[in-house]
Amino acid sequence: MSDPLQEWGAARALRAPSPAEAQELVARARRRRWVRRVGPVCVLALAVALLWVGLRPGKEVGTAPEPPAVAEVAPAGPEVLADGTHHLDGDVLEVEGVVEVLGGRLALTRGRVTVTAHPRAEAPLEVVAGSWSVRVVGTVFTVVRDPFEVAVAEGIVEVVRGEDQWRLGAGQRFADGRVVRPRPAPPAVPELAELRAQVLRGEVEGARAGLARRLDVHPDDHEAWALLAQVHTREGHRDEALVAWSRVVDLGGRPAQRARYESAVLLEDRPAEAVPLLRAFLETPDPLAAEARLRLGQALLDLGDASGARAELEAVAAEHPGTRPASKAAQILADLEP
Amino acid sequence: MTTTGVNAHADLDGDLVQRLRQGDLDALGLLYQRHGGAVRSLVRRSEPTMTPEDADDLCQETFLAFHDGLRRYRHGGRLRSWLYGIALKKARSYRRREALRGVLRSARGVGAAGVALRRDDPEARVDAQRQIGQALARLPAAQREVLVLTALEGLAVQEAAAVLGISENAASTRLYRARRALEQP
Repeated sequence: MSDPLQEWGAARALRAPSPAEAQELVARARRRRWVRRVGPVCVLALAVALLWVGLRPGKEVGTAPEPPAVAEVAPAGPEVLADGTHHLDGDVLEVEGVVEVLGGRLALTRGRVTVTAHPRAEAPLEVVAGSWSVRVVGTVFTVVRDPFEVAVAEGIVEVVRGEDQWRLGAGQRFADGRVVRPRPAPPAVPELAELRAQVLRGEVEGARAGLARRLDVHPDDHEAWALLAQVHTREGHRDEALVAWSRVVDLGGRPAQRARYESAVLLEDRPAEAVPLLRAFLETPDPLAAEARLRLGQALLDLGDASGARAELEAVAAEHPGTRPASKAAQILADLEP
Repeated sequence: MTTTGVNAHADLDGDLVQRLRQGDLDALGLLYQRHGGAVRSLVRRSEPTMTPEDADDLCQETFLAFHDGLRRYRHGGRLRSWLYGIALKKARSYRRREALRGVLRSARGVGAAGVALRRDDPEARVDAQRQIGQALARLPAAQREVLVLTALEGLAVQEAAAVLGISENAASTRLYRARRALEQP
């Protein structure tokens, strides 16, 4: 019974979350914490506001609601468009602020407006923002009043100021008095070689972000996990490094060997945790066996197991003569002599 | 996953919990990386009809609930068992929600196919696994939870009892009944 059950269970195993998924969880937790802290304050403020609205002097029950402020601002004269979506002669305007309609021109007096316009050669739609104006040539674009900025999603617009003109195409922005070219999208999954190069150049932040992206797509990439562990070690983030090394151990195989040793090195001040890692490491022949056995001896000594420590240190001296670990082991053994 | 990879870092969990208590939410992310795979797998095994996507959501909810109730947690080196307890409670809520939505879970007669597994589930192609899946789905949830915790997650009966908040005797009884039910054709 147990074999089919174990196989069934193994088939339903799901992989561990990637660093990117972990960041998503942390973002959710931050939002929940913010809501918990700010929520009661907002509820209280809303309650006070509602109470004030209900109790303010001169209000009569059953009176009609006051007309919106926008209509009062312009009872006669140019049409004023406030926040929301507006249809104007076949064009669609998404307003976040205030726009005045002046014939075939729109005056952006505050905020921003996104325009989806149809081309009209005889009377092109024009948006004026202070001394700036933007004419529609057939496009979807957004204009921000302060600081002045234009972003084009589709089509082409002309940005005009006095005698100066700039033509913007799809994907381009106008800001700080100049056209800003779109930046190329970063590669979806960075190559490991480039990430290693970034680490060597000291670009740790970029390497870490790149590794998170890579591990999101390739969660079983032990080399990426190992590099991430090294980055964390370099930054002095021991917990983060141990988590990354433990993922390499979980993946198994030869990389797990190295991960056990590196974890034991990080846990030098925690001999109780280092010992099982070093014992597991020493079960497989490895070029680092001498160093690992020396560390094991030192860890056992720290734990008060003198006889166990002596056995390991003697093994280092016997099995790896002439090496630095053997010299060190001999020195420690000499110190242990009564 | 090797024991050396997880248990040897039991104090790492303690460190991360301590950081979390001090308000460092990045520690929650690290705990999620360390234990999220096991929790995801547990919920999917304890609810055979659950999709991997639902298991992911439930897993996140588990860790958020752990963070919310951090004051109640006393670190004793078995953080994973604590998370299992939360996850199984979430799974029970999921089960009740699914039942209320009227999702079809009942068998279509003796030897029915596809009860526990989705019609397009690749596992359905393996007869032995399909039968196990069907049999597990037919088990009462209380028995299935004990079986999954002990037979698949490797917990001792005593530990499984602690996770589920029941007596060791009750856990043993449920486990016995679950195994008997799986042995029947």
